[in-house]
Amino acid sequence: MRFLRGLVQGLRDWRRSDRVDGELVDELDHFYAEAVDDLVRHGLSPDEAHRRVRQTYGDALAVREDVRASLWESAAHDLVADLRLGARRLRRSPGFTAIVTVVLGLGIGAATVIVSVVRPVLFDGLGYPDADRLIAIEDRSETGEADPVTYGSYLELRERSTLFDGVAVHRSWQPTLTGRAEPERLEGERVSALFFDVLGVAPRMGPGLDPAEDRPSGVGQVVLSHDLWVRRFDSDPQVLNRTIELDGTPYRVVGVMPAGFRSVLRTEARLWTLLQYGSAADFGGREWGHHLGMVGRLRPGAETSAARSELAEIAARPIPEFPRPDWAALQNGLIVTPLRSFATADGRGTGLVLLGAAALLLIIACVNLAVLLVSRGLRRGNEIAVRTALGAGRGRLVRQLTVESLLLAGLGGMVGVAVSTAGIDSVLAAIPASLRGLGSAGIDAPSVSFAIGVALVVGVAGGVIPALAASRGISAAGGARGTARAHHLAERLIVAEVALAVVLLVGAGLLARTMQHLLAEPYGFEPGGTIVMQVRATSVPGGDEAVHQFWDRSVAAIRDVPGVRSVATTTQLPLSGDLEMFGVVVHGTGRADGADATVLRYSVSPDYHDLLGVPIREGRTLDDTDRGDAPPVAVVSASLARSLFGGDGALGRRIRVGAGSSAFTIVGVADDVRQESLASDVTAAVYTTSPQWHWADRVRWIAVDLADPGLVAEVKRAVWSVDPNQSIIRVQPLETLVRRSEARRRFVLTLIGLFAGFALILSTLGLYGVLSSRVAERRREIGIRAALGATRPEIVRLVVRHGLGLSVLGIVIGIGAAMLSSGALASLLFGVTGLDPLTYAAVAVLFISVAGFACWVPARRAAKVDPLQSLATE
Amino acid sequence: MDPLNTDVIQGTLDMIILKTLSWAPLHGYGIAQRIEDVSGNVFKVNPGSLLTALKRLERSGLLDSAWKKTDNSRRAKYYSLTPAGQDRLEADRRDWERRSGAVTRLLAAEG
Repeated sequence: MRFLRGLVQGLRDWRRSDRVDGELVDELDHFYAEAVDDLVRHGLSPDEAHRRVRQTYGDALAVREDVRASLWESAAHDLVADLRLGARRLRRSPGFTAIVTVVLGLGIGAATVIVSVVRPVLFDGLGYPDADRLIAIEDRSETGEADPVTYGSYLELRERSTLFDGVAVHRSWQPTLTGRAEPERLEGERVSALFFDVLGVAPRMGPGLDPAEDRPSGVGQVVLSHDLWVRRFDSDPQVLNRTIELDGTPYRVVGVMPAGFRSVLRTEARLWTLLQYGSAADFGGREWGHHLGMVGRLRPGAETSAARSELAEIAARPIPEFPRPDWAALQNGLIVTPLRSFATADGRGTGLVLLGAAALLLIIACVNLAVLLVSRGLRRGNEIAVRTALGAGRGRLVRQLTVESLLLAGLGGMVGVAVSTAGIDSVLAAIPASLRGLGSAGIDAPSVSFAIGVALVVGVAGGVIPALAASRGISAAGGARGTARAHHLAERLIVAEVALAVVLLVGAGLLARTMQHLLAEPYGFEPGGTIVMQVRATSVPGGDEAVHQFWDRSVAAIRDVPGVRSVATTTQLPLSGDLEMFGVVVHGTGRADGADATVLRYSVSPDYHDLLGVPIREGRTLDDTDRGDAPPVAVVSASLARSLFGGDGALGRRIRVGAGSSAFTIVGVADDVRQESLASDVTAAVYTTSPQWHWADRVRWIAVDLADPGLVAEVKRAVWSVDPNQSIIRVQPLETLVRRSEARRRFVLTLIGLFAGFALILSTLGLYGVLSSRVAERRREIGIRAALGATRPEIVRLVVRHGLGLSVLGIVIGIGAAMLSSGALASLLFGVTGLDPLTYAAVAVLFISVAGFACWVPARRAAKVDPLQSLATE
Repeated sequence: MDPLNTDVIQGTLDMIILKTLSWAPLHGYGIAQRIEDVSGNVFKVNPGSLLTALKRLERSGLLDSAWKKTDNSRRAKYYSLTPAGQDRLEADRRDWERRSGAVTRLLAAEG
């Protein structure tokens, strides 16, 4: 209130500032006059009295300034004057203003987008209460790598550990919502009953999952995410207890989570149901497959380290109540990680790289602003000298230049916010699913404040330094020396800018080389024109026999479609994100302590290898004779054959796959296929025909080789002619999967490539600006040289050598910095090291050619200097 | 010999001005004189801080001002207390008494 009144009064006084000034003068005059009168009354002469008063109270003018300076509007007054001056000057050179604004805007916009995108993995918390008490638990494989836990291990750890308030497990679940308008495949999770309690978040409505139903053949229950509830159920408050159909099975809705709730380990999950696993008595069941994620909530006060040692203790000491199979004997211990670092591990490295690149770009933009301001300041040397001579204090000069730079940065900040608002959606859309955790709600208040903050910092940093340098130069040396000093500053800045740009370019180059290597990597199959689709036969009535029949009849129906050249089915498709692994034991070796290898399991139709173009190296492929009642046979991948049997030949050997498996005789060896990603070398694989596998898979991929992609609709119709109730999803060319599998690197490469290109343009601009002003200023010298007989080529060489000298120095420094910082990229590189000589050389060559061009233009201008004219103007 | 410190105790100038004006409206020089007289020349006020303080108090709505003729027929700006100023003076005075009493007690305390 009081502040407001002060503000209003101040504004009023400001508007009538002349009158207020006049009042102040009158008031002070009166004060002094009364004081003099007093002294005169005491017998002093008027002159003496005046002298005495001035002695006691000081000069009236100075007092007035003091009083006025104490009022806020006076400071504001000066500031507005500076702002006006700055704005006027910027208006006078619209080209310069536009370039700087756009450059800064792009830099700030890019940084804002990146910061918004990486915020969830780098800065935000998990969004759960007391999230620091949450930890992730994984099994440790023989090779020391992290493996998902088994349900059996979960049951044992749940009973035996004492340091947890609760533990829970979850696995992915992708049900298709049926029975409503359009079937939709949803992302979800199957979780143990206490999952939400462990995370510490309760549904906003409904009781949530009922622990009593977490058993085989328990009632189907489902909890919805807030956005799914809004989108598919129109925020219907009556949704509770309604029954929805997922994969043809009824589920009762028992809860809706609060808005914004995300399951950190599977952020795309939008609905949750109970795991409903059995007692783990049977080693052959799914309860002993390594496929569950496990989280635990520590008791208050319990340390992660304590939990780690307790779990290690439990792992090391099996007890009879909890028998363990060989492959889940926990003999290598468990891996315990705080949930936050676990959940963000994926995106974190990438996020940091992007953040680093954005920071580099921002610094480059800032240096560029400083360079441009300094070179412009040089051309303004006269103006500043005049203003200094007219009595502008150094502080005022610095403030003025800073205000000008802040104005530019402010404009840049506005452009930046606009750029980021326009660009965030395309960046968000480009974020690959593998970078889970990255993402953003858009350009929100924190993002905008970030942009404004950055603009301020850039404005001050880009303005104060040159301002100080310029004003010091001018006031200390008056002219030539100050100018020379400013030139040195500009040159040093340009070297720094080139160096920073080189670092970015090297990063982009290394990533580009990585992509090149990856795409040249054989991935073991030929995508060709093959179209794939996932068919979810989850509601086929009947048991295994009916399911096998469904697949057989579907394949037959598809084969009958005219234009279909070939068709095959498989449980796992390479590069699709599927990853189903089993332990393998060589039959007859008597090995009991765990598996001989962990392999990918494919159960396929006989034409699979043929259709995907996976070459068979030895033996035969699977064929129609390998039926359910025939002796079980398998094709293995070359890498598995090598690791199990060395050079001894795998054909005819027998292996068991998974617990309780019959022995499969190896009849063929196929080339390795990259299942997980182009960069992954997990290629040990076992292929069996579907009727010979332990069970009938209800979810399979169908791959078809079509004469015309337009026939896809016919293919789907063929499947539906067998059973119209099964959903067909993820229809796409196999080629798409290959491309998408490297989406993460491609994403980073695209962004850093953009940044690097931008940095290159900026530093070229800066170089050009510095050289131009240098040439303009050396006109006279150049004129004299020309008059003394220097030829045009000589003058061009003079300027170009100067510019190239600066660039080379920057490039050398930049390459050094890039070598030092290349470690940050290590996790994203493949096939090249961070010190790849080719990349470095290419960047240097590219930069020198671009810099040469930037030098050549001003050099030519210098060469055109007419000696007579240049000397006459002086 | 060091001249005796005649600065008004830090933070009390506003209260002293308010008190001075509680008897009658005064112009700036009058206020300064009054403070010197009443304090027995212990405090002297310079015009810089006085006018700054007056401006501030006026903006806060604690004082009113009007230009009037003085006895010796000069034009001067007379300040007077507003009701808000009156209230503030009361509050400041109570606070001052409470605190200065405490300081006095502390200084007088023995052992």
